[in-house]
Amino acid sequence: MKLRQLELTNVRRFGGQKAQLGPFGDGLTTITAENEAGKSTFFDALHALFFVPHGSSSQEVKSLQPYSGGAASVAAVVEIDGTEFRVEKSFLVQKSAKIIDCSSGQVIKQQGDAEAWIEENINKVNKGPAGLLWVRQGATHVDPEGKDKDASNVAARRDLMSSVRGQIDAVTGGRRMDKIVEQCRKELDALATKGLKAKAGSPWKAIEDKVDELLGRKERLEADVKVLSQALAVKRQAKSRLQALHDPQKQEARVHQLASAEEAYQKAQQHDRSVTDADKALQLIVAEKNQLIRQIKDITDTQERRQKLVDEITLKEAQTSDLRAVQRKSDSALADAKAVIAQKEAERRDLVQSLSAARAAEKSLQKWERLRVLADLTLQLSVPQKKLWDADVILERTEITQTDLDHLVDLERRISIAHEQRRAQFAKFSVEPSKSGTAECDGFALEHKKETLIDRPLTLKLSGFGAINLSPAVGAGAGIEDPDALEAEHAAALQTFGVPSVQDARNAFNAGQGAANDKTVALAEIRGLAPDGVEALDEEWQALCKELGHSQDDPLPDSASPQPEDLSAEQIEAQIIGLDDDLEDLRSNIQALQTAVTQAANDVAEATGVLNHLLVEKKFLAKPQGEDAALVSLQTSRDDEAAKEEKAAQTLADLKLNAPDLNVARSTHERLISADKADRDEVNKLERELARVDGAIETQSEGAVEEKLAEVSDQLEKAVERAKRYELQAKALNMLIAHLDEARKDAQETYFEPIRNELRPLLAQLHAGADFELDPDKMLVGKIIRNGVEDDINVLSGGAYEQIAILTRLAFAKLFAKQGRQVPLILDDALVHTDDERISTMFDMLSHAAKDQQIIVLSCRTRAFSDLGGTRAFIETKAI
Amino acid sequence: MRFIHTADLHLAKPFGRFDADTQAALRMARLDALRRLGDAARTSNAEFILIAGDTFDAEAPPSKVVRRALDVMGEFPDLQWVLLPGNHDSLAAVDLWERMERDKPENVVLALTPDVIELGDQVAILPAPPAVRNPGVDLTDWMTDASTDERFRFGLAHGGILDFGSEEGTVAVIRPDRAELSNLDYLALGDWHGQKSITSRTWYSGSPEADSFKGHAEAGALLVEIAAPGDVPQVTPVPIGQFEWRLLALEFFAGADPVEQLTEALPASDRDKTLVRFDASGRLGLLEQSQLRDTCKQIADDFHYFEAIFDRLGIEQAVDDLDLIATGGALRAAADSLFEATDLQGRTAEDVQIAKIALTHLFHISQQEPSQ
Repeated sequence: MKLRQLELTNVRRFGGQKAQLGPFGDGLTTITAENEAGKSTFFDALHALFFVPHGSSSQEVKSLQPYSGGAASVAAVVEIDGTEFRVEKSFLVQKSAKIIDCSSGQVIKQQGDAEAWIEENINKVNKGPAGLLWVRQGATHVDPEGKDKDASNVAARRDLMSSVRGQIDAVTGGRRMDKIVEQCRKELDALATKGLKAKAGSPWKAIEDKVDELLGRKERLEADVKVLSQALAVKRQAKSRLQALHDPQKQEARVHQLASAEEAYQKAQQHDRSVTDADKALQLIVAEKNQLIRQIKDITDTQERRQKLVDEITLKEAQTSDLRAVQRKSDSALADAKAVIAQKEAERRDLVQSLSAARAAEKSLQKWERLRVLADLTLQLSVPQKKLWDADVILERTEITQTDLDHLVDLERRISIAHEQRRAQFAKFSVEPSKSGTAECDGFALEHKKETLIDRPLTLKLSGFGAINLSPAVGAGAGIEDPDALEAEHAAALQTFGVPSVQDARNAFNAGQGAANDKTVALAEIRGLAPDGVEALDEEWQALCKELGHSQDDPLPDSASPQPEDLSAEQIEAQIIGLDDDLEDLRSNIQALQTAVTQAANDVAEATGVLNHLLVEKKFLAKPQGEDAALVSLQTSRDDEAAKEEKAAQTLADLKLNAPDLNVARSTHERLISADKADRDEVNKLERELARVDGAIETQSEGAVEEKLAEVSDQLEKAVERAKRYELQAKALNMLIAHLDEARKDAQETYFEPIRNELRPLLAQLHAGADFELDPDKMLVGKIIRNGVEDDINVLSGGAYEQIAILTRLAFAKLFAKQGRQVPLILDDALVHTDDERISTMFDMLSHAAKDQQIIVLSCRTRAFSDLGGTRAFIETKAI
Repeated sequence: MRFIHTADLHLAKPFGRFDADTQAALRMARLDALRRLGDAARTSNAEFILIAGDTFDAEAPPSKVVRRALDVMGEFPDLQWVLLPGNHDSLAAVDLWERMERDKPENVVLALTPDVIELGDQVAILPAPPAVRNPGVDLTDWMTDASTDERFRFGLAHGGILDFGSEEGTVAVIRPDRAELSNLDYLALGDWHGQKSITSRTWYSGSPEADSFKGHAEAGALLVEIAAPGDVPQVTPVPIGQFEWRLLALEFFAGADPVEQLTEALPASDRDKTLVRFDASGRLGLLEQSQLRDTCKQIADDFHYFEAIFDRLGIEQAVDDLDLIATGGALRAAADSLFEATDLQGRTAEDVQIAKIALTHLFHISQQEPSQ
């Protein structure tokens, strides 16, 4: 669709007038007019023409009416698919709507049909309310809370949001989608937490709580039912048992059994007592009989012993005699052995004494020999000691060192050099006076022809001549040592060393060196002879002299040799060892002999003791009177008791043979008593148990625990089902929201991608290298990215902001055009903040875009927009 | 000879899955069933009523329930009520039977031992009371050798029949030919809550008042008529139950009107005495599902109890349905992806169920937020 012309009749400031605006070209059309010229009035009216039914009395329509009132009429010529149509509406008074085919001038639609035609051919076709993109001053943004928040609803509908909202909604689901998602979120939020758990206060949570509560109740009821069940089982068993216990036949049998058992037990006890008595009688007879047997045995044993004692005494006397003979022989052998030992020990003592003497003699000889050695060493030491003493004398005298000697030689050399240099450098003279003549120099007479050096100012007096003053040449003698001073030093040195000349000094030095060598040699020799020192030798010497009683002044006796007949200490020691061996053998023998003697003594003592004992016993066992008669009497009594015993034993055996089993009778009796008591105890216990379980059964029964358990189980089953349904519902809502979000996101991506592609090159002309992000909700650039820095669109300057807003719409328009939906882009004072440099660029872009896009620009900036080019449209008015 | 055969009253059964009012009504109905049995016996000139076990639901029911039951039976002094313990109220419920023995009116006979009970001059009841909940042996064995002279021989037992099973899956041990084997004129059985004929002489009476959605036949008792010992008995079902428990397992297919299908399946009358469990399966489009759910909500209060289960109901892919959510755009994309997630291929049953709920919910919300 393209807009060709607008015409207003009696609208606002054009009250009583017909105002035309146009023509609008295919591309760019500019309308420049000062403010309040009525530009906006045209487009408010255009909006009403397209979107407000002609019968409406809305504020939007009323706002079109001039102060003078009357019908406000709006008409627009639009071109759709190459055909021009005039769309007319008259509002408020003489309300009407018409569509006129411009080529034929015929009205093709009227009133309602005309409205439908507008909807079908303008609004619906373009999928937007206006079918055009309109940017007004200060309305460059679509966010209601943004910079256009003061814009009226009409203005809002003109903006891009309104223009394309329908299309966006068709793709993304729009507000319907929003409402559905919102409702789902609301339902999910009321039901579940973000982690899809039951939310507090939700019916799901309530049913989950109920499940928990029912589980608790079920558990308690199950416990109660178990108690009931156990109580019933206990009661059943107890009743069954009581029935058995109260069985009359059983009870009668029990009484009879008990009486029989008691009688049997009493009989058994009686018989048992008879057996005990018979046994006791038998035991008494046996005891009496045994007593008699013991007495008989005592007598016969005494008789036999008495006979045996005679033989034993005879035998023991012979044994005692033999033992005494052995004892005597042992004593004798021991005495002999002791004598031999005493003799050997005496020999040994002598030998020990001899050994001591021999060792003393050997030691004395060794000391004398040492004394002689020491004397020899003393003699040998006298030579090096003499040398040492001589050397010390020389060394004591000689004080000249090698340095001193070198110093003296050096002084001699320097004196000689000084004299030679003086002789070479100083002039000299000599005189040969006549015999009468004299010559003196500084008061001293000069020797004839003796050269005198002029080494200082001299006054030469010559007799008969007078005096001659002599002086050395200037500078002569410089650097030459004073020979006199050197000689004085030389003389002083010689005096110090006590020698008349250097040669003497050299000799003295050489003598000292020889003495030092001699001393060293002597000391080495002395150390060789007396490693511990001469004093140690002297001390040893003196000590030995004292020990041997030798006077130091006496000559040493010659060395003595031992006599050949004398035994050496070693030989004596060998003899002693031999004796010790003999003694050890002897002592060993004597120990055995002593043991034998002791044994013999003991044997004799023992034999004697036994013999004495036998003799005492013999005396004690002397046969009393009447012994034989008593023995016969005892034997008769014993035979009587044996007969009694046999009879009593028979009686006892008979009793035992016929005795009932007392233990069995007792056990049977006790068992039956016990069983009877146990039955009675059990009855009591069962009755108590029955009373107890009856209470429990009644309690649980009246509490209807089984029914309640069944009821709670049913309720629980249902509650679990309901909880599961809520869970599924929550999951379903979550799934639904996820699918809706995903679908909307995909749709937005799909929808905005072509817009991005259109906008990218446009934006690049204003901000080279800049990238951007589209805000899908606002359908505008939300963020701009320049040099990697991301800025929210709201922080941009007013100029940059409106430029981007216009470019975004231009991108939309280009996209629509590519889709075959030509829509005009209307810029109504849209570039009010843009500077001259940018506005020029914007003009270029608009001009370029206008080659295949209808763009209508309205501005009050006449001068600035004069460069925009394109078709110029004007507002023309005339009175009605 | 005429008598009423019944069993499995399960007095004091709690019905915990239901709300308090339903629970109370169902419990009361079971007690009323006793009275209805008495009335039915009188109406049909029956001489006695055999209750083949599980008169009570628990081993220790509240004494008040026991008292009420005995009072009701006492209201029919001209009838003899023969009560056999069942698996729920076996002889292990010693206190219950002790109390019954102590408090029962004269016309109530407790069959607590496997001994012949003589009723008048003609009838011998041969009971097989279970000592415990699951005895595991055929307690009717003794009937073969039981001497009853010339009397009618009526066996009374509780439990499962071999090759047939039991109500609660316990061990079934009673021989199916017990009546013939033990020369019984009739074997009155309890345990199976639906009426069932095993042989011409062996019957389960079923529960007189239904208690589950297991799909048993109409709850009631059996009127047994037999001319002379040895004759084949004539058994006639006698309706007793007040409440109908209806399990509606409906399978739906796309194209059919599910609301109509459901409406036709539901009873037109006595809805306030009907408990319904509606288990939907098959596949339906989202719109049809939504309509079906709305219908269920609308009709639920017509019934004493109404429960709808849609877990097994799949979603039929219908472009129209998805178009109702959105014809295009992100909303449609979300609907498409959710629909894909309802395919079981490569997914767990729970994930598929979640996806179905999500898609259904999306459909539901989208219908509240119609497109502009």
